[in-house]
Amino acid sequence: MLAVDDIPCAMMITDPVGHIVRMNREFLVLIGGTEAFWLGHSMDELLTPASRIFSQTHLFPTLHHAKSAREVFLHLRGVGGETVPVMVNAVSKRLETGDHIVWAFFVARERSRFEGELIKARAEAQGLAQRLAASNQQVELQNRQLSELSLSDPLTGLKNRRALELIVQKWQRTASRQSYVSLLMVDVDYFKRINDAHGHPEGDRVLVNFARQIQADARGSDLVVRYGGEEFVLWLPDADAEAAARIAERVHKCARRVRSLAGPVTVSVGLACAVHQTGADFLARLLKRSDQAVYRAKALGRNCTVVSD
Amino acid sequence: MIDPIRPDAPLLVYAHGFGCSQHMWRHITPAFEGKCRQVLFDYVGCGQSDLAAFDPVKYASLKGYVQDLLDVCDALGIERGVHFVGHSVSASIGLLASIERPTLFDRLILVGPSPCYLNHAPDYLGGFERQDLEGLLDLMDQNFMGWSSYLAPIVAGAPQADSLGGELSESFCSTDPTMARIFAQATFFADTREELSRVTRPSLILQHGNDALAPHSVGQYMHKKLRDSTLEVLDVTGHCAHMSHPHLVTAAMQRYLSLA
Repeated sequence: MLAVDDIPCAMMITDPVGHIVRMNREFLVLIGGTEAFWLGHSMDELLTPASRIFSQTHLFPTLHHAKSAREVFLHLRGVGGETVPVMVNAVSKRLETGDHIVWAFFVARERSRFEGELIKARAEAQGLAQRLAASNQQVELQNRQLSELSLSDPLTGLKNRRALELIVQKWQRTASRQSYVSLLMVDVDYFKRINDAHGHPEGDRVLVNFARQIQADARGSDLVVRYGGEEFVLWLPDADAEAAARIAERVHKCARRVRSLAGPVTVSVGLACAVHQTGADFLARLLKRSDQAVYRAKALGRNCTVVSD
Repeated sequence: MIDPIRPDAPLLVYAHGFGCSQHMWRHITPAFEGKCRQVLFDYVGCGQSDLAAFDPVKYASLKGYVQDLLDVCDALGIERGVHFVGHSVSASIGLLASIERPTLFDRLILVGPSPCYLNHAPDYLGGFERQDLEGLLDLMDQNFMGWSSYLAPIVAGAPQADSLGGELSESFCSTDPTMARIFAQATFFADTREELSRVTRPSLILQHGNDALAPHSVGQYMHKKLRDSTLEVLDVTGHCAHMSHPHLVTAAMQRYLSLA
Protein backbone atom coordinates (compact mmCIF):
# COMPACT_ATOMS: atom_id res chain seq x y z
CA MET A 1 0.00 0.00 0.00
CA LEU A 2 1.31 3.42 -1.00
CA ALA A 3 1.77 5.84 1.90
CA VAL A 4 1.23 9.59 1.48
CA ASP A 5 4.82 10.14 2.53
CA ASP A 6 5.96 8.28 -0.61
CA ILE A 7 4.00 10.46 -3.03
CA PRO A 8 6.35 12.87 -4.87
CA CYS A 9 4.12 15.86 -4.28
CA ALA A 10 3.39 18.04 -1.25
CA MET A 11 0.10 16.97 0.31
CA MET A 12 -1.96 18.17 3.20
CA ILE A 13 -5.31 17.55 4.85
CA THR A 14 -7.14 20.35 6.63
CA ASP A 15 -10.54 20.81 8.24
CA PRO A 16 -13.12 22.72 6.12
CA VAL A 17 -11.77 26.12 7.19
CA GLY A 18 -8.10 25.29 6.75
CA HIS A 19 -6.78 24.03 10.09
CA ILE A 20 -3.96 21.60 9.40
CA VAL A 21 -4.75 17.96 10.23
CA ARG A 22 -2.11 16.06 8.25
CA MET A 23 0.95 16.87 6.14
CA ASN A 24 3.26 14.58 4.17
CA ARG A 25 7.04 14.53 4.22
CA GLU A 26 7.37 16.28 0.86
CA PHE A 27 5.40 19.24 2.25
CA LEU A 28 7.65 19.54 5.28
CA VAL A 29 10.67 19.65 2.97
CA LEU A 30 9.16 22.79 1.42
CA ILE A 31 8.07 24.66 4.53
CA GLY A 32 10.34 23.23 7.22
CA GLY A 33 9.39 22.13 10.74
CA THR A 34 7.67 18.96 11.83
CA GLU A 35 4.15 17.73 11.30
CA ALA A 36 3.55 17.90 15.04
CA PHE A 37 4.50 21.57 15.04
CA TRP A 38 2.04 22.50 12.27
CA LEU A 39 -0.96 20.48 13.46
CA GLY A 40 -3.89 22.72 14.39
CA HIS A 41 -2.34 25.79 12.78
CA SER A 42 -4.23 27.62 10.06
CA MET A 43 -2.91 27.03 6.56
CA ASP A 44 -2.94 30.83 6.20
CA GLU A 45 0.36 30.72 8.05
CA LEU A 46 1.90 28.79 5.16
CA LEU A 47 0.99 31.50 2.65
CA THR A 48 2.37 34.91 1.78
CA PRO A 49 0.00 37.78 2.68
CA ALA A 50 -1.12 38.20 -0.95
CA SER A 51 -1.81 34.48 -1.24
CA ARG A 52 -3.74 34.57 2.01
CA ILE A 53 -6.12 37.14 0.52
CA PHE A 54 -6.43 35.18 -2.69
CA SER A 55 -7.07 32.00 -0.76
CA GLN A 56 -9.79 33.61 1.37
CA THR A 57 -11.50 35.50 -1.45
CA HIS A 58 -11.23 32.90 -4.23
CA LEU A 59 -10.03 29.50 -3.12
CA PHE A 60 -12.25 28.89 -0.08
CA PRO A 61 -15.40 30.34 -1.71
CA THR A 62 -14.75 28.07 -4.70
CA LEU A 63 -14.32 25.08 -2.40
CA HIS A 64 -17.56 25.90 -0.57
CA HIS A 65 -19.37 26.33 -3.81
CA ALA A 66 -17.95 23.60 -6.03
CA LYS A 67 -16.25 21.24 -3.56
CA SER A 68 -13.05 21.37 -5.57
CA ALA A 69 -10.55 23.84 -6.97
CA ARG A 70 -7.97 23.14 -9.65
CA GLU A 71 -4.74 24.77 -10.76
CA VAL A 72 -4.83 27.68 -8.38
CA PHE A 73 -1.53 29.55 -8.33
CA LEU A 74 -0.27 30.60 -4.90
CA HIS A 75 2.91 31.51 -3.07
CA LEU A 76 4.00 29.47 -0.05
CA ARG A 77 6.33 30.75 2.60
CA GLY A 78 9.16 28.25 2.30
CA VAL A 79 12.02 27.33 4.58
CA GLY A 80 14.01 30.40 5.59
CA GLY A 81 11.37 32.86 4.33
CA GLU A 82 11.85 31.93 0.67
CA THR A 83 8.75 32.38 -1.53
CA VAL A 84 7.76 29.13 -3.26
CA PRO A 85 5.38 29.39 -6.23
CA VAL A 86 2.95 26.46 -6.25
CA MET A 87 0.01 25.16 -8.25
CA VAL A 88 -2.69 23.92 -5.92
CA ASN A 89 -5.45 21.37 -6.36
CA ALA A 90 -7.93 20.87 -3.55
CA VAL A 91 -11.08 18.83 -2.96
CA SER A 92 -13.61 18.77 -0.14
CA LYS A 93 -13.87 15.19 1.11
CA ARG A 94 -15.78 13.37 3.80
CA LEU A 95 -13.24 11.21 5.65
CA GLU A 96 -13.96 8.88 8.60
CA THR A 97 -13.31 11.78 10.98
CA GLY A 98 -15.68 14.23 9.23
CA ASP A 99 -15.50 16.84 6.47
CA HIS A 100 -12.02 17.74 5.29
CA ILE A 101 -10.12 19.34 2.45
CA VAL A 102 -7.38 17.35 0.72
CA TRP A 103 -4.67 19.50 -0.83
CA ALA A 104 -1.95 18.81 -3.37
CA PHE A 105 0.79 21.38 -4.02
CA PHE A 106 3.07 21.25 -7.06
CA VAL A 107 6.14 23.44 -6.98
CA ALA A 108 6.06 25.60 -10.10
CA ARG A 109 9.22 27.68 -10.01
CA GLU A 110 9.98 27.36 -13.72
CA ARG A 111 6.36 27.73 -14.77
CA SER A 112 5.96 30.74 -12.54
CA ARG A 113 9.04 32.42 -13.95
CA PHE A 114 7.86 31.66 -17.47
CA GLU A 115 4.34 32.97 -16.81
CA GLY A 116 5.74 36.03 -15.13
CA GLU A 117 7.73 36.71 -18.31
CA LEU A 118 4.61 36.14 -20.41
CA ILE A 119 2.54 38.55 -18.36
CA LYS A 120 5.31 41.12 -18.55
CA ALA A 121 5.59 40.60 -22.31
CA ARG A 122 1.84 40.94 -22.67
CA ALA A 123 1.86 44.18 -20.68
CA GLU A 124 4.71 45.47 -22.82
CA ALA A 125 2.89 44.49 -26.01
CA GLN A 126 -0.24 46.25 -24.77
CA GLY A 127 1.80 49.34 -23.95
CA LEU A 128 3.43 49.20 -27.35
CA ALA A 129 0.08 48.81 -29.11
CA GLN A 130 -1.24 51.79 -27.18
CA ARG A 131 1.74 53.93 -28.11
CA LEU A 132 1.43 52.77 -31.71
CA ALA A 133 -2.25 53.67 -31.80
CA ALA A 134 -1.48 57.07 -30.29
CA SER A 135 1.25 57.80 -32.82
CA ASN A 136 -0.97 56.60 -35.68
CA GLN A 137 -3.56 59.07 -34.51
CA GLN A 138 -0.91 61.77 -34.48
CA VAL A 139 0.18 60.90 -38.01
CA GLU A 140 -3.42 60.91 -39.20
CA LEU A 141 -3.98 64.33 -37.69
CA GLN A 142 -0.81 65.67 -39.29
CA ASN A 143 -1.85 64.18 -42.63
CA ARG A 144 -5.18 65.93 -42.38
CA GLN A 145 -3.48 69.21 -41.51
CA LEU A 146 -1.02 68.70 -44.33
CA SER A 147 -3.68 67.97 -46.93
CA GLU A 148 -5.67 70.92 -45.63
CA LEU A 149 -2.57 73.06 -46.14
CA SER A 150 -1.86 71.68 -49.58
CA LEU A 151 -5.40 72.51 -50.69
CA SER A 152 -5.40 76.06 -49.36
CA ASP A 153 -4.02 79.36 -50.48
CA PRO A 154 -1.86 80.69 -47.67
CA LEU A 155 -2.59 84.40 -48.28
CA THR A 156 -6.38 84.40 -48.48
CA GLY A 157 -7.21 81.06 -46.83
CA LEU A 158 -9.36 80.20 -49.86
CA LYS A 159 -9.04 76.83 -51.56
CA ASN A 160 -6.47 76.56 -54.34
CA ARG A 161 -6.37 75.14 -57.88
CA ARG A 162 -5.65 71.64 -56.62
CA ALA A 163 -8.75 71.70 -54.43
CA LEU A 164 -10.76 72.86 -57.44
CA GLU A 165 -9.52 69.91 -59.48
CA LEU A 166 -10.44 67.45 -56.73
CA ILE A 167 -13.90 68.94 -56.22
CA VAL A 168 -14.62 68.92 -59.93
CA GLN A 169 -13.50 65.31 -60.29
CA LYS A 170 -15.73 64.35 -57.41
CA TRP A 171 -18.66 66.24 -58.94
CA GLN A 172 -18.07 64.48 -62.26
CA ARG A 173 -18.16 61.13 -60.48
CA THR A 174 -21.20 61.76 -58.31
CA ALA A 175 -23.52 64.33 -59.92
CA SER A 176 -26.39 63.20 -62.10
CA ARG A 177 -26.17 63.56 -65.89
CA GLN A 178 -28.75 66.33 -66.03
CA SER A 179 -26.83 68.47 -63.53
CA TYR A 180 -25.72 71.97 -64.43
CA VAL A 181 -22.65 73.70 -63.25
CA SER A 182 -21.36 77.22 -63.71
CA LEU A 183 -17.90 78.58 -63.28
CA LEU A 184 -17.05 82.22 -62.69
CA MET A 185 -13.58 83.48 -63.47
CA VAL A 186 -13.06 86.73 -61.58
CA ASP A 187 -10.17 89.09 -62.25
CA VAL A 188 -9.48 92.21 -60.17
CA ASP A 189 -9.31 95.24 -62.48
CA TYR A 190 -6.13 97.26 -62.65
CA PHE A 191 -4.57 95.24 -59.85
CA LYS A 192 -1.05 96.01 -61.08
CA ARG A 193 -1.72 99.71 -60.52
CA ILE A 194 -2.65 99.13 -56.87
CA ASN A 195 0.60 97.24 -56.38
CA ASP A 196 2.71 99.80 -58.20
CA ALA A 197 1.17 102.85 -56.54
CA HIS A 198 0.76 101.59 -52.97
CA GLY A 199 3.06 98.60 -52.65
CA HIS A 200 2.48 94.86 -52.42
CA PRO A 201 1.13 94.94 -48.84
CA GLU A 202 -1.80 97.08 -50.02
CA GLY A 203 -2.34 94.70 -52.97
CA ASP A 204 -2.38 91.77 -50.60
CA ARG A 205 -4.83 93.56 -48.32
CA VAL A 206 -7.22 94.10 -51.26
CA LEU A 207 -7.00 90.42 -52.23
CA VAL A 208 -7.59 89.26 -48.67
CA ASN A 209 -10.57 91.56 -48.16
CA PHE A 210 -12.14 90.63 -51.45
CA ALA A 211 -11.59 86.94 -50.75
CA ARG A 212 -13.28 87.33 -47.37
CA GLN A 213 -16.29 89.06 -49.00
CA ILE A 214 -16.89 86.45 -51.69
CA GLN A 215 -16.29 83.57 -49.32
CA ALA A 216 -18.82 84.99 -46.86
CA ASP A 217 -21.31 85.46 -49.68
CA ALA A 218 -20.93 81.96 -51.16
CA ARG A 219 -23.53 79.18 -50.80
CA GLY A 220 -22.51 76.08 -48.89
CA SER A 221 -22.17 74.06 -52.07
CA ASP A 222 -20.05 76.67 -53.84
CA LEU A 223 -16.28 76.50 -53.92
CA VAL A 224 -14.31 79.73 -53.86
CA VAL A 225 -10.78 79.43 -55.17
CA ARG A 226 -7.83 81.73 -55.52
CA TYR A 227 -6.78 80.67 -58.98
CA GLY A 228 -3.75 82.84 -59.60
CA GLY A 229 -2.34 86.26 -58.60
CA GLU A 230 -5.49 88.40 -58.76
CA GLU A 231 -7.69 85.73 -60.34
CA PHE A 232 -10.45 83.93 -58.44
CA VAL A 233 -12.74 81.09 -59.51
CA LEU A 234 -16.19 80.31 -58.17
CA TRP A 235 -17.40 76.76 -58.79
CA LEU A 236 -21.21 76.81 -58.63
CA PRO A 237 -22.86 73.39 -58.80
CA ASP A 238 -26.52 73.31 -59.92
CA ALA A 239 -26.38 76.95 -61.07
CA ASP A 240 -27.57 77.55 -64.64
CA ALA A 241 -26.41 80.63 -66.56
CA GLU A 242 -29.19 82.76 -65.11
CA ALA A 243 -28.45 81.81 -61.50
CA ALA A 244 -24.73 82.20 -62.11
CA ALA A 245 -25.29 85.68 -63.54
CA ARG A 246 -27.07 86.68 -60.34
CA ILE A 247 -24.13 85.38 -58.33
CA ALA A 248 -21.76 87.33 -60.61
CA GLU A 249 -23.72 90.47 -59.74
CA ARG A 250 -23.12 89.81 -56.09
CA VAL A 251 -19.41 89.34 -56.78
CA HIS A 252 -19.32 92.82 -58.28
CA LYS A 253 -21.01 94.11 -55.14
CA CYS A 254 -18.43 92.36 -52.98
CA ALA A 255 -15.67 94.12 -54.91
CA ARG A 256 -17.34 97.48 -54.35
CA ARG A 257 -17.32 96.89 -50.61
CA VAL A 258 -13.52 96.50 -50.56
CA ARG A 259 -11.78 99.72 -49.50
CA SER A 260 -8.44 100.49 -51.13
CA LEU A 261 -5.99 103.39 -51.03
CA ALA A 262 -6.17 103.23 -54.82
CA GLY A 263 -9.88 104.01 -54.85
CA PRO A 264 -12.86 101.80 -55.78
CA VAL A 265 -12.10 98.17 -56.55
CA THR A 266 -13.87 96.52 -59.50
CA VAL A 267 -13.66 93.11 -61.11
CA SER A 268 -14.25 91.60 -64.54
CA VAL A 269 -16.12 88.32 -64.59
CA GLY A 270 -16.28 85.56 -67.18
CA LEU A 271 -19.14 83.11 -66.82
CA ALA A 272 -19.24 79.64 -68.36
CA CYS A 273 -22.07 77.18 -67.85
CA ALA A 274 -22.10 73.48 -68.74
CA VAL A 275 -24.10 70.28 -68.40
CA HIS A 276 -22.51 67.34 -66.62
CA GLN A 277 -19.75 65.56 -68.56
CA THR A 278 -17.25 62.92 -67.54
CA GLY A 279 -14.25 63.80 -69.70
CA ALA A 280 -10.85 64.52 -68.18
CA ASP A 281 -10.66 67.90 -69.96
CA PHE A 282 -14.05 69.07 -68.64
CA LEU A 283 -12.58 71.55 -66.18
CA ALA A 284 -9.90 72.73 -68.60
CA ARG A 285 -12.50 73.56 -71.26
CA LEU A 286 -14.73 75.31 -68.74
CA LEU A 287 -11.76 77.37 -67.50
CA LYS A 288 -10.78 78.23 -71.03
CA ARG A 289 -14.30 79.44 -71.91
CA SER A 290 -14.60 81.54 -68.78
CA ASP A 291 -11.12 82.94 -69.30
CA GLN A 292 -12.04 84.06 -72.82
CA ALA A 293 -15.19 85.65 -71.40
CA VAL A 294 -13.08 87.59 -68.89
CA TYR A 295 -10.91 88.77 -71.76
CA ARG A 296 -14.00 90.07 -73.54
CA ALA A 297 -15.23 91.74 -70.32
CA LYS A 298 -11.90 93.56 -70.07
CA ALA A 299 -12.23 94.61 -73.68
CA LEU A 300 -15.74 95.91 -72.94
CA GLY A 301 -14.30 98.32 -70.38
CA ARG A 302 -14.02 96.08 -67.29
CA ASN A 303 -16.33 96.02 -64.20
CA CYS A 304 -18.82 93.76 -65.99
CA THR A 305 -19.73 90.13 -66.58
CA VAL A 306 -19.56 88.37 -69.93
CA VAL A 307 -21.31 85.05 -70.42
CA SER A 308 -19.49 82.51 -72.57
CA ASP A 309 -21.51 81.02 -75.46
CA MET B 1 -35.72 39.73 -5.93
CA ILE B 2 -36.99 36.60 -4.28
CA ASP B 3 -40.16 36.27 -2.19
CA PRO B 4 -42.36 38.97 -3.66
CA ILE B 5 -44.58 38.62 -0.59
CA ARG B 6 -46.39 41.26 1.44
CA PRO B 7 -45.11 44.70 0.54
CA ASP B 8 -44.71 45.58 4.23
CA ALA B 9 -42.50 42.56 5.06
CA PRO B 10 -38.96 43.46 6.19
CA LEU B 11 -36.66 44.11 3.28
CA LEU B 12 -33.19 42.54 3.05
CA VAL B 13 -30.75 43.74 0.39
CA TYR B 14 -27.64 41.55 0.03
CA ALA B 15 -24.39 42.75 -1.51
CA HIS B 16 -21.63 40.27 -2.31
CA GLY B 17 -17.94 40.77 -1.58
CA PHE B 18 -14.87 40.96 -3.77
CA GLY B 19 -14.19 37.84 -5.81
CA CYS B 20 -17.70 36.43 -5.74
CA SER B 21 -21.25 36.94 -6.85
CA GLN B 22 -24.73 36.89 -5.32
CA HIS B 23 -24.49 33.08 -5.25
CA MET B 24 -22.52 33.43 -2.05
CA TRP B 25 -25.77 34.19 -0.18
CA ARG B 26 -27.54 30.99 -1.17
CA HIS B 27 -27.14 29.40 2.29
CA ILE B 28 -28.48 32.50 4.02
CA THR B 29 -31.60 33.43 2.05
CA PRO B 30 -33.63 30.23 2.76
CA ALA B 31 -33.80 31.17 6.47
CA PHE B 32 -35.75 34.33 5.60
CA GLU B 33 -38.03 32.97 2.92
CA GLY B 34 -41.66 33.78 3.57
CA LYS B 35 -40.75 36.31 6.26
CA CYS B 36 -38.80 38.92 4.34
CA ARG B 37 -38.55 40.45 0.93
CA GLN B 38 -35.01 39.70 -0.25
CA VAL B 39 -33.02 41.46 -2.96
CA LEU B 40 -29.86 39.99 -4.49
CA PHE B 41 -27.72 41.49 -7.22
CA ASP B 42 -24.29 41.30 -8.87
CA TYR B 43 -22.14 44.40 -9.20
CA VAL B 44 -21.36 45.31 -12.79
CA GLY B 45 -18.29 43.29 -13.76
CA CYS B 46 -19.20 40.38 -11.46
CA GLY B 47 -21.36 37.27 -11.71
CA GLN B 48 -24.03 37.42 -14.37
CA SER B 49 -24.00 41.22 -14.71
CA ASP B 50 -24.00 42.95 -18.07
CA LEU B 51 -20.27 43.19 -18.70
CA ALA B 52 -20.84 45.71 -21.48
CA ALA B 53 -21.93 48.18 -18.80
CA PHE B 54 -18.50 48.06 -17.16
CA ASP B 55 -16.76 51.43 -17.12
CA PRO B 56 -13.13 51.14 -15.95
CA VAL B 57 -13.14 54.69 -14.64
CA LYS B 58 -16.44 54.46 -12.76
CA TYR B 59 -15.56 51.16 -11.13
CA ALA B 60 -12.01 52.12 -10.19
CA SER B 61 -13.33 53.47 -6.90
CA LEU B 62 -15.97 52.28 -4.46
CA LYS B 63 -18.23 55.12 -5.61
CA GLY B 64 -19.08 53.18 -8.75
CA TYR B 65 -20.27 50.22 -6.70
CA VAL B 66 -22.18 52.51 -4.31
CA GLN B 67 -24.01 53.77 -7.39
CA ASP B 68 -24.81 50.18 -8.43
CA LEU B 69 -26.40 49.55 -5.03
CA LEU B 70 -28.46 52.75 -5.21
CA ASP B 71 -29.40 51.99 -8.82
CA VAL B 72 -30.71 48.56 -7.82
CA CYS B 73 -32.88 50.12 -5.10
CA ASP B 74 -34.12 52.80 -7.49
CA ALA B 75 -34.95 50.24 -10.17
CA LEU B 76 -37.06 48.30 -7.66
CA GLY B 77 -38.75 51.45 -6.39
CA ILE B 78 -37.27 51.01 -2.91
CA GLU B 79 -37.18 54.28 -0.99
CA ARG B 80 -36.77 53.23 2.65
CA GLY B 81 -36.55 50.38 5.10
CA VAL B 82 -33.53 48.59 3.64
CA HIS B 83 -31.88 46.10 5.97
CA PHE B 84 -28.56 45.95 4.22
CA VAL B 85 -26.38 42.83 4.40
CA GLY B 86 -22.91 43.33 2.93
CA HIS B 87 -19.91 41.05 2.92
CA SER B 88 -16.34 42.30 3.11
CA VAL B 89 -15.89 45.27 0.73
CA SER B 90 -19.65 45.53 0.39
CA ALA B 91 -19.81 46.52 4.03
CA SER B 92 -17.91 49.68 3.08
CA ILE B 93 -20.07 50.12 -0.01
CA GLY B 94 -23.25 49.88 2.11
CA LEU B 95 -21.91 52.35 4.67
CA LEU B 96 -20.98 54.85 1.96
CA ALA B 97 -24.43 54.43 0.37
CA SER B 98 -26.06 55.06 3.76
CA ILE B 99 -24.14 58.33 4.08
CA GLU B 100 -25.28 59.36 0.63
CA ARG B 101 -28.90 58.38 1.22
CA PRO B 102 -29.59 57.80 4.94
CA THR B 103 -33.36 57.66 4.41
CA LEU B 104 -33.03 54.54 2.28
CA PHE B 105 -31.53 52.40 5.04
CA ASP B 106 -33.02 51.06 8.24
CA ARG B 107 -29.90 49.31 9.51
CA LEU B 108 -26.80 47.58 8.19
CA ILE B 109 -25.33 44.14 8.80
CA LEU B 110 -21.63 44.01 7.98
CA VAL B 111 -20.04 40.58 7.51
CA GLY B 112 -16.24 40.64 7.80
CA PRO B 113 -15.85 44.39 7.14
CA SER B 114 -12.67 46.41 6.97
CA PRO B 115 -12.48 50.16 6.28
CA CYS B 116 -8.86 49.88 5.16
CA TYR B 117 -6.63 46.89 4.46
CA LEU B 118 -3.39 48.84 4.65
CA ASN B 119 -1.50 49.31 7.87
CA HIS B 120 -1.17 52.90 9.03
CA ALA B 121 1.08 52.36 12.02
CA PRO B 122 0.89 53.09 14.83
CA ASP B 123 -2.79 54.16 14.95
CA TYR B 124 -4.35 51.64 12.63
CA LEU B 125 -3.52 48.09 11.66
CA GLY B 126 -5.35 46.98 8.54
CA GLY B 127 -3.30 43.81 8.32
CA PHE B 128 -1.32 44.40 5.12
CA GLU B 129 1.55 46.35 3.65
CA ARG B 130 1.39 47.95 0.23
CA GLN B 131 3.61 45.31 -1.38
CA ASP B 132 1.32 42.57 -0.05
CA LEU B 133 -1.65 44.10 -1.86
CA GLU B 134 0.34 44.67 -5.02
CA GLY B 135 1.40 41.02 -4.78
CA LEU B 136 -2.29 40.11 -4.79
CA LEU B 137 -2.80 41.86 -8.12
CA ASP B 138 0.16 39.93 -9.58
CA LEU B 139 -1.28 36.73 -8.22
CA MET B 140 -4.62 37.49 -9.87
CA ASP B 141 -2.84 38.06 -13.17
CA GLN B 142 -1.14 34.69 -12.90
CA ASN B 143 -4.34 32.91 -11.96
CA PHE B 144 -6.60 34.44 -14.58
CA MET B 145 -4.26 34.55 -17.56
CA GLY B 146 -6.35 32.43 -19.85
CA TRP B 147 -9.75 33.25 -18.49
CA SER B 148 -11.10 35.71 -21.02
CA SER B 149 -11.48 33.25 -23.86
CA TYR B 150 -12.37 30.40 -21.55
CA LEU B 151 -15.29 32.39 -20.18
CA ALA B 152 -16.67 33.49 -23.51
CA PRO B 153 -19.54 30.98 -23.76
CA ILE B 154 -20.66 31.71 -20.23
CA VAL B 155 -20.68 35.42 -20.77
CA ALA B 156 -22.46 35.10 -24.08
CA GLY B 157 -25.12 32.60 -23.13
CA ALA B 158 -25.50 33.34 -19.42
CA PRO B 159 -26.62 29.75 -18.76
CA GLN B 160 -27.88 28.44 -15.44
CA ALA B 161 -25.28 27.52 -12.88
CA ASP B 162 -26.08 23.82 -12.85
CA SER B 163 -26.03 23.23 -16.58
CA LEU B 164 -22.31 23.83 -16.70
CA GLY B 165 -21.45 21.94 -13.56
CA GLY B 166 -17.83 22.17 -12.66
CA GLU B 167 -16.90 24.68 -15.33
CA LEU B 168 -19.07 27.46 -14.01
CA SER B 169 -17.93 26.63 -10.51
CA GLU B 170 -14.45 27.64 -11.57
CA SER B 171 -15.77 30.94 -12.80
CA PHE B 172 -17.94 31.45 -9.74
CA CYS B 173 -15.36 33.62 -8.08
CA SER B 174 -14.59 35.93 -10.91
CA THR B 175 -15.72 36.93 -14.34
CA ASP B 176 -13.51 39.02 -16.52
CA PRO B 177 -9.91 39.22 -15.26
CA THR B 178 -9.54 42.88 -16.18
CA MET B 179 -12.70 43.82 -14.32
CA ALA B 180 -11.78 41.62 -11.37
CA ARG B 181 -8.43 43.38 -11.20
CA ILE B 182 -10.08 46.79 -11.16
CA PHE B 183 -12.48 45.62 -8.45
CA ALA B 184 -9.50 44.27 -6.48
CA GLN B 185 -7.74 47.60 -6.72
CA ALA B 186 -10.85 49.51 -5.66
CA THR B 187 -11.39 47.08 -2.78
CA PHE B 188 -7.96 46.67 -1.30
CA PHE B 189 -6.66 50.20 -1.72
CA ALA B 190 -9.85 51.82 -0.41
CA ASP B 191 -9.68 53.79 2.81
CA THR B 192 -13.06 54.69 4.27
CA ARG B 193 -11.92 55.27 7.85
CA GLU B 194 -12.75 58.97 7.68
CA GLU B 195 -16.29 58.24 6.52
CA LEU B 196 -17.21 55.93 9.40
CA SER B 197 -18.08 58.77 11.75
CA ARG B 198 -20.52 60.17 9.17
CA VAL B 199 -22.68 57.05 9.22
CA THR B 200 -25.95 57.69 11.04
CA ARG B 201 -27.73 54.35 10.63
CA PRO B 202 -27.26 51.58 13.22
CA SER B 203 -25.12 48.62 12.27
CA LEU B 204 -24.16 45.11 13.31
CA ILE B 205 -20.51 44.21 12.78
CA LEU B 206 -20.14 40.46 12.37
CA GLN B 207 -16.46 39.74 12.68
CA HIS B 208 -14.80 36.40 12.10
CA GLY B 209 -12.89 35.17 15.13
CA ASN B 210 -9.88 34.33 13.00
CA ASP B 211 -9.89 36.20 9.71
CA ALA B 212 -6.75 36.48 7.59
CA LEU B 213 -8.19 39.63 6.01
CA ALA B 214 -9.38 41.56 9.04
CA PRO B 215 -7.58 41.37 12.38
CA HIS B 216 -9.53 41.80 15.65
CA SER B 217 -8.36 45.37 15.96
CA VAL B 218 -10.24 46.25 12.76
CA GLY B 219 -13.58 45.17 14.22
CA GLN B 220 -12.92 47.13 17.40
CA TYR B 221 -11.88 50.18 15.39
CA MET B 222 -15.12 50.09 13.40
CA HIS B 223 -17.20 49.54 16.52
CA LYS B 224 -15.62 52.61 18.10
CA LYS B 225 -16.14 54.82 15.04
CA LEU B 226 -19.61 53.68 14.00
CA ARG B 227 -22.41 55.30 15.98
CA ASP B 228 -25.05 52.80 17.21
CA SER B 229 -22.97 49.80 16.23
CA THR B 230 -22.95 46.34 17.77
CA LEU B 231 -19.86 44.15 17.49
CA GLU B 232 -20.32 40.41 17.43
CA VAL B 233 -17.37 38.10 16.95
CA LEU B 234 -18.31 34.78 15.37
CA ASP B 235 -16.30 31.72 16.33
CA VAL B 236 -15.26 31.20 12.74
CA THR B 237 -11.92 30.81 11.00
CA GLY B 238 -11.88 32.29 7.50
CA HIS B 239 -13.48 35.23 5.75
CA CYS B 240 -16.80 33.84 4.52
CA ALA B 241 -18.88 32.85 7.54
CA HIS B 242 -22.07 33.17 5.49
CA MET B 243 -20.74 30.32 3.32
CA SER B 244 -18.88 28.19 5.84
CA HIS B 245 -21.11 28.77 8.88
CA PRO B 246 -24.42 30.08 7.53
CA HIS B 247 -26.37 29.05 10.63
CA LEU B 248 -24.24 31.37 12.81
CA VAL B 249 -24.79 34.25 10.44
CA THR B 250 -28.55 33.76 10.06
CA ALA B 251 -28.92 33.42 13.85
CA ALA B 252 -27.04 36.68 14.40
CA MET B 253 -29.12 38.40 11.72
CA GLN B 254 -32.40 37.16 13.23
CA ARG B 255 -31.36 38.33 16.68
CA TYR B 256 -30.34 41.74 15.42
CA LEU B 257 -33.43 42.22 13.29
CA SER B 258 -35.70 40.65 15.98
CA LEU B 259 -37.03 38.18 13.44
CA ALA B 260 -36.44 34.95 15.37
